[in-house]
Amino acid sequence: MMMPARTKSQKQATATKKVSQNALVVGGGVAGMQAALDIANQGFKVYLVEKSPSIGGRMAMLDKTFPTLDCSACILTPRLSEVARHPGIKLLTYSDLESVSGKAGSFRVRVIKRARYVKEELCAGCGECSKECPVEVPNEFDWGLGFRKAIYVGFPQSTPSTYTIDMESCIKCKRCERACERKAIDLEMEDERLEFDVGAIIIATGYRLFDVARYYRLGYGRIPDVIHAMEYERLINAAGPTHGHLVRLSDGRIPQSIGFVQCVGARDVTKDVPYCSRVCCMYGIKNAVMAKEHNPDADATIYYADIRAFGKGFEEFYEMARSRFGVKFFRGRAAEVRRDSRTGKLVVRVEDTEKAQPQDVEHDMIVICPGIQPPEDLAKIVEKMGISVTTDGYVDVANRYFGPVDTKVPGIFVCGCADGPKDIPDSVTEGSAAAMKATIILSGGGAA
Amino acid sequence: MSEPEHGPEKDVEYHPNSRFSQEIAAEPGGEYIRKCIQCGLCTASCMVANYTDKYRPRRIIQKILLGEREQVLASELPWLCMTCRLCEERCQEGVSLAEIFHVVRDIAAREGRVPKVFKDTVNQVLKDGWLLKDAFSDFIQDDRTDLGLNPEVNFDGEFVKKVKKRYFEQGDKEEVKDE
Amino acid sequence: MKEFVLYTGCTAPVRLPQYEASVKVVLDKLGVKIVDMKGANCCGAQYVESVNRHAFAAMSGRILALAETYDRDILAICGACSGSLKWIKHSLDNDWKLKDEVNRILADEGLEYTGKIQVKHLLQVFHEDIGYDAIKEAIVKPYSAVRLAAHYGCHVTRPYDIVRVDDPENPTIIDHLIEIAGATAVDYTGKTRCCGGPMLAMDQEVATKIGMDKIRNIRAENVDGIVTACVFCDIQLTQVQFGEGAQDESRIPVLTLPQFLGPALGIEPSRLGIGYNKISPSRVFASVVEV
Repeated sequence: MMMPARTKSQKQATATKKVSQNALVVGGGVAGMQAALDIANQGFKVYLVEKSPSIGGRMAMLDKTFPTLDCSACILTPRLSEVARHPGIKLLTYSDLESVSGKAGSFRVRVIKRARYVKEELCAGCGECSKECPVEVPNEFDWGLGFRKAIYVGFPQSTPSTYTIDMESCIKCKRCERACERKAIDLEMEDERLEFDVGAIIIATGYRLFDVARYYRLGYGRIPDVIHAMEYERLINAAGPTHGHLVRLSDGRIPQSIGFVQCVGARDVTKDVPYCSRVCCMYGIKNAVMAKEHNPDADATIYYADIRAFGKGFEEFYEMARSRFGVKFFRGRAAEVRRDSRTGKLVVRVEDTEKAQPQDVEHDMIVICPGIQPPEDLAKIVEKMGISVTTDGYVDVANRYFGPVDTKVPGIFVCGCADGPKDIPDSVTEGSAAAMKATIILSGGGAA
Repeated sequence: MSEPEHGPEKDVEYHPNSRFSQEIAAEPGGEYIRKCIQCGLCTASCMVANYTDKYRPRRIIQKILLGEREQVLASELPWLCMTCRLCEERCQEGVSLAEIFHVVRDIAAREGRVPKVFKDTVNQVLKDGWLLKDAFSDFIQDDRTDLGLNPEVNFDGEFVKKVKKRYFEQGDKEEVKDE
Repeated sequence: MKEFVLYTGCTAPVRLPQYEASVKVVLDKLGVKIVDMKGANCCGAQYVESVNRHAFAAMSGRILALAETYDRDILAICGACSGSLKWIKHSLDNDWKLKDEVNRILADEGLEYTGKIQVKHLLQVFHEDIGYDAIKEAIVKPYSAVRLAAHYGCHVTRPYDIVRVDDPENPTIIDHLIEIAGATAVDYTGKTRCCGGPMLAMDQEVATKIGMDKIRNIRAENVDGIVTACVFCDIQLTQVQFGEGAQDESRIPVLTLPQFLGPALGIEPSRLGIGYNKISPSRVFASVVEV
């Protein structure tokens, strides 16, 4: 459909209609960052609100991406800088959305900028404070496998590079304050409330993993060497808690045999997740390939019902995993994981459906590949905006075919995993799509 | 269900929407049989599969889906399920295997195909009203008294006569018939 | 307090009368009144269930209707019975045609199934009707240094949607009661697996192998005894230990839940029929009482 060029009267109408020239993006992951950049590059201003201390989202935690095995941080971090440097993007990290009112073109937004107790404008990210801090707690970024101090950045390339004090763990010894040459620490800091107008809002809140502890039969949480895919990512990541050494959590030994369990928390009517989570087959294969890269003599086996390799380069990646890397594909859903008390080995109980043979297979480590879910607070966020979620908990889109990034509320759009599981390229695509939809409003073309 | 017009071999349908699977799906308990994706979670969980070479619950479901009616109904395999339901609890597609096997057994029984031990036990129950009347000796009565229990067990033997008459004495539903 | 009509099933009165006796004694101690069901019949589990769905509904349906004449909920102490009764109750409550058919065959005796009473397994009575706190208060002689493995039984805990007793993959009621009574509840591989009892009819050898699988997994945890909540499970887990695959010295005592709780509640072992257990549980009771 050809839109005519904007006439003078239309532009005047924009001025009188007072369409805000700002946009709000909720969520600083790869989709949100893409949306923010695309909007800002058109000359509008973007408020990028992120609840954790740094943007980067899940992609920052990954080691390699499928199907190319690109280093995730290497391709992501330039983005982080771009977003941070962009004059049109106002980064509001460690912040939460408090309320939204109004309508497309003129939303009134309130955001709480939670106190980091470190002044952003003064902190240079040198890390001297952290060295002095006596308190060590599990690091969320490492999924509890590594540690951080009470004053911390989650990962080295945190953006902004400002440190944050986790007041829950801080013992107020003030050693950080004494160590900071720039006097950036302010233990009396309070939460700040910001209010501003935006013309369009994009929800890019990402995902969380299905809680695999709900599968008692798979032993997660009971057996130390049963881990989930994100924990695995942190173990194989050179910047992770073991400096990239894939070792068992129980005894630090290198696993010679690893089993990957698919369809956990996905395609399961008993756990109310009947849908396929789209990315797990591919990331499972990627994980198995990485296991072989780390230790070519090791044995990597994937337990699956179907392998869904639907995208560009996916089938080839699957084939390469099988033929070049020697990843074993075992057609049978894993029923139970137990620990043999005599040998210390982990045992998977599974049927080889190609041979009709139920059997026990031994491994040193089991990696459960969970399906992904809407984040916990998504329902609350969407309630503030008056949009709805589907029965699966994802943001409901206006039209699956012709409005896949539109929510049912004009002016509010969605991208990334907030509306359903998807991989990085698809999340980025949706980010751009949502940005486009948002800027149609900002440029006065009306709610599309 | 009417008997197939052709001989058994010609009647096999090699697709998952076989008439036999529809027959099963039409009975209570069998509804979700066609959800099965043959992933093997059931068979991996099954203790009988673990300790036999012949029993594979996934395979039985597969044969039903493929329409192998005669083979399944003539087989003793559906009678080996212990109804422990571990497979049902775990099946991610919602297939109720123990219930499906109950449906298969019900249909097999209607066609007079019941393993002897089941036949004998049912006949015993239908005769006495309960299972262990013959084993209920004086010694056990004494034991019961010593334990402070009523030595009489007071089971009713009349009702089962009605059950037998209503459900087991109609033409080919005759339970005492031998194959 | 709560009152129940007891449905023993065919097997308990004959093969495990000590279970029936200890249930009555223990529940009485904990303030639950039990009346015997007179003129009951077999619930139809396993065998009638397999050959004719409607006959099965009639048999279990009659027991449900009988309970209505007592105006009390049913307490079922056997796993298979509790599973059957709950299953048929669910069917009758959701299929009016079946309910009509069952009521027609019951009409001669003046019985009717309306659905007003509930079916509970023994574990539910302990957990829901008596409650852990009350049981804890009633413990007068706690155990010490005793390791026990709990075996729940398949028909007690599954299918969860119908029986609603405990988490089917990770049941804890018996373990909780073991701990309350001062003993140590021990986890073991294959806790939710079947004892093999239902296979005895068709293939005794396989049934024994399945039962021994359970015994081996339990033995690996060095326990002093196994606590059960189903008639068939108790009999099967005892019996397999006398079979070919078992050894004489290391037989593990099998005792029913009320027999375990009894001594801790101050009840005389003789009233619990401990002497009738094929494998003497004396080492379980050593810390509590002389057997």
